[in-house]
Amino acid sequence: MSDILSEFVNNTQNEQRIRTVHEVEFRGTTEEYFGIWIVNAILGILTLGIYSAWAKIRNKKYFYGNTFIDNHNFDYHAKGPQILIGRIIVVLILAGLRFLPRYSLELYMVFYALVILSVGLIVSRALRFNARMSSYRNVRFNFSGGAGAAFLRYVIYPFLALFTLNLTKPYVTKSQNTYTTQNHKYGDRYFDFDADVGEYYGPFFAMIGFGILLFIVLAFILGALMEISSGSTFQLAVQSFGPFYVIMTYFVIRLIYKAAVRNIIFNNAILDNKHEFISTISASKYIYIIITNTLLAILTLGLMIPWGRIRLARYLAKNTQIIAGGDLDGYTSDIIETHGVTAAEYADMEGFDIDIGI
Amino acid sequence: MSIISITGDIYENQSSYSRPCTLKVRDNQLMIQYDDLEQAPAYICKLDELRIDPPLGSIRRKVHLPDGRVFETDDLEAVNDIYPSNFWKRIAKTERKGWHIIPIALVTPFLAFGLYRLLVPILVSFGMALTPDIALYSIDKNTMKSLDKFVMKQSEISHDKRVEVQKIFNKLLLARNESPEQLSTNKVFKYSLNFRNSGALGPNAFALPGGTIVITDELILEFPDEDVIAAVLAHEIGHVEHQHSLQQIYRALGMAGMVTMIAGDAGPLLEDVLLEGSAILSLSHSRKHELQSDNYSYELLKLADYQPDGLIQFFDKMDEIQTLPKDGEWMMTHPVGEKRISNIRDKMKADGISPRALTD
Repeated sequence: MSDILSEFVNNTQNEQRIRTVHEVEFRGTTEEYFGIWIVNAILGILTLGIYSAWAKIRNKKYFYGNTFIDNHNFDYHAKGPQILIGRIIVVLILAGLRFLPRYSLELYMVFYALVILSVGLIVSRALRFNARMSSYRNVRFNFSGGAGAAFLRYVIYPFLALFTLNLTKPYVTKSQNTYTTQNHKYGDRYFDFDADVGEYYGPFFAMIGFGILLFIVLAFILGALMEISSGSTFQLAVQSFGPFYVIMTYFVIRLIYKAAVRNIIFNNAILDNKHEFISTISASKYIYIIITNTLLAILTLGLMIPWGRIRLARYLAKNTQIIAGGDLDGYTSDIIETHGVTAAEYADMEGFDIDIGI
Repeated sequence: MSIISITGDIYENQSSYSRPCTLKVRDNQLMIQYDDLEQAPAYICKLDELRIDPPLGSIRRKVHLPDGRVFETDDLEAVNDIYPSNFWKRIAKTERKGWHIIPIALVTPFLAFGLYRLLVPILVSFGMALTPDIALYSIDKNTMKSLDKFVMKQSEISHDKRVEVQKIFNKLLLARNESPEQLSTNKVFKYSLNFRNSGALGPNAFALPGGTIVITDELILEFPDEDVIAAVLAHEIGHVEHQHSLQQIYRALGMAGMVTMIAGDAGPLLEDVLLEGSAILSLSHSRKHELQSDNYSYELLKLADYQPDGLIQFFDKMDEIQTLPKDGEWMMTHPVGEKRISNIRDKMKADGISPRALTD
């Protein structure tokens, strides 16, 4: 009640504060992106992977550059040599982890502990690098989250959640989302984020319930197939791929939670105390797109990957809006220097989900 | 020389505030004229002081002025006129849609496959050389732990029978140690024989990279003939000596790494499928590995004074009982083929050993 009241008072007091809804638009096309993607792939092969650093940039630049709000696009600014050096250092670290124990187990333990301890540093630096390399309307994003806070949210909390059979995962997710969102800045203005953990529990239980349901259905289908195929070689296939189906079920139901979390992040974030965001992706449509993308990619030896990526970007953009509580052109960047590409590459290779992901 | 005019917007340094303007270029000189001001074009800088973003698809081009202002335009052709001919211009030209993309697209999967064939073996041998023995033992330990938790139960075979099988195993290891140059690598494996009861795996035996070998109760009960047991165990020792499991692990890793390297990040589900799928596939051995282990088994059996045709007997019997539902697993992880049987038969013929009558 008080929220509505205060908003009403606010609105009547500042008449000039006009709220404008901007749709997020994605203007990339498969025809165009396919050429970029295939040239990236073939040069990646011919240079034994070295070109992949530049390929990553062209890729990101293409998606950022085709994402529009209010007829202005995003941009990505990292440079090829930066990414390449980052990757080389990461490969050396990973090789070190494998190589060290041959010489000294103690040294290996120390090194390994250091890597675990630096997860916080890696996550925070990766987020910072990514933010600082991204811009909208000539103004860079920034990230000011600390390493200690990241360590707590990405190592300690998930570890503690294990003791609750992961039933407290929504709390972990919320704390991670709060960390990543609240510490992001656009220019010199902060994002804010305040979500109720109850919002996470809905989709979390939906994921578990759906998982159990799917598992039962699957067991029935597999059982029936076993009955029908009894004695034939087909049965071997059914039996042997059983575990594979189970793992895939797990991957699929995880997407339910992922889709919901994206909505929660956008719907509870606010920039500069006045610009709000809306995300309305539906878990079923999201999963449908990702499953069909994956199947087509496999069936075409990867050649349909670009089509799938454009399709997903289009869907995400179509379901995202900005409610601007004022002008979007009154911002200035507040950073100049940027380091930490190694951390970003490490996080990239180790699969941390750190993209801003409009 | 003619004047090139490019219309667009200009951003102040580090600011999101922009206004429409026209850039004019004449003889290496860059001038700017604001659309909302009635004034003559003002000189800014020389053309080569500009930093222009490389072309990419049809996204807007940015021109960075030396004073930090940024000019942005949709007039891609006009920008291309002042953009130097360099590597990126050629890349962008290749990327543009056209018929030439089709052959590239058709060739790429084959090139990727070629690279896979070329690079992955190198990565595999590199990874194997760098893998410390300690890592092997911990792989064994952890795998056994999870298998014991989910798939296998304690053995119900009698103590005496177990001692019997253990003796066969020891005899084989002794024979292996006596001929190091032929049948053993210089790596030190911690060989151990483990007895387990497992409904799901049926009559089966498998080896982990560090030398842990598991034999199921079902196999021991199904095959009382000690030559068969010896043949199966020798075959598994072969997998260990040739480090087949480790090769498969690195092959799976190398493949996943290569795909992400070439295709960029593959997308949410596809990445999981690639990683998990290849890990699952890595559990099963390739035909080449099976033949290699068969050959190893053959040689080791001869040295240890066992009948070298134990595997043939094993295959024949497995073929008979294969149709039973719970025994399917073996065939998936150990592709049986006429080829493997005839391979052993050929060896025996060459060595002048006559095959025994099948014991039934």
